[in-house]
Amino acid sequence: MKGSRDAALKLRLKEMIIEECEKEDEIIPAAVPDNVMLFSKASGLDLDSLDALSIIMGLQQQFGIRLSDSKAFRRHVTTINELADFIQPE
Amino acid sequence: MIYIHAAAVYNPPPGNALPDLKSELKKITGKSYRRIDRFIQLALIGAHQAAAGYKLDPETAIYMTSGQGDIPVFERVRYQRYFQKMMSKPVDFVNLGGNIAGFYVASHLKLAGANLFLSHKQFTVQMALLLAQSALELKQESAILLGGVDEYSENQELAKKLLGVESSIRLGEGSNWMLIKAEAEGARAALSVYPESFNLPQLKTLIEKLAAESFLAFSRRLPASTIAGLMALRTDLPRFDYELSSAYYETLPLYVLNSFLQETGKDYGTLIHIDGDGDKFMVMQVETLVTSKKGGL
Repeated sequence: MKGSRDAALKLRLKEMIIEECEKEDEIIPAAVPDNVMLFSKASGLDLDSLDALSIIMGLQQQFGIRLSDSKAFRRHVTTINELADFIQPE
Repeated sequence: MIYIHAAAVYNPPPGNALPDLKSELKKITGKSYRRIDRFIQLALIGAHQAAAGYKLDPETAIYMTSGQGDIPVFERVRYQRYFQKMMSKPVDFVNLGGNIAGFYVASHLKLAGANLFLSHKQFTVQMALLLAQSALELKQESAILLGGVDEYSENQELAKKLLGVESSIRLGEGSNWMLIKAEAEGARAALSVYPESFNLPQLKTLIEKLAAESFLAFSRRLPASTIAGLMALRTDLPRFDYELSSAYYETLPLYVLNSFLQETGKDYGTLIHIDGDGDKFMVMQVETLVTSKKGGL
């Protein structure tokens, strides 16, 4: 199953992002939209560059995904759906 | 002599699970802090409580001291880097640098004065107080918010080795702060730190000369036999027991002084605090200012 159709995986990703970026007081995982750019205002997460580094660490620790450079990050860490598809292509 | 105008203790009782400082900090300050570690959370909680209800001059200096610093963060970064072969968490890396806790305290309390993080191998608290005393007496500072912060370390063996304390001692954490000035007006207590260290015979002479009504408190660094010998010199002097309410950490003397002020709020007196390391001893004296009973020298 593609990651974007796997609700459990997407919830885990949202939880990881909120935990790594310490956003627990600001937003609950279910409120993070699937199809909105994570680093846009519309996501409700209000993330910055230090959060990006924290997400890279979280992906490595919790999902075994190593993003080697900023290009790879920008390509795959866009929306929850696209990130989920990257982690679980099929 | 310097004067204590405000004091606060944050000293989670031993034997309990460590409190969730993030929620505690939010409850106390009403603010949500991100990207700070436990050491900074402790500093903020203690400093906030000491300053609560007190209008601080923006030029108030911050002097912070610690016996062991943030060993847990250092341990975590070391483990991630050398055992997990991973990058350290960016926030951990940032927080390890310099006087970050002091920056957060200054930002929170809107202070723009001097901001020092002091470290000393022996007599951590006494050295910080002596420096503060000099700065106040020389009028380099008009007010200093002085705090001692120590964070609990899961790696007790390493922490005890670094601190040079006995293996039977239970380590804890705390954040204890006082606002000190050179002026007595409006102060709660007078504080003296004897600038010279004592040897045992000199310490015995000092204790023999103490006036009645002084309370004695001893650092946990002192062997029980030494404490018993010193107490035997003056059986008329009461001992200020704080040991049951606290595990050990290097800046514990600040907790002892501040908790004496809190506990003797109605029953005034003088506390003589004796700390030791090997054959060297240091003495501090705190005396509540609205006194019905006088002690000390």
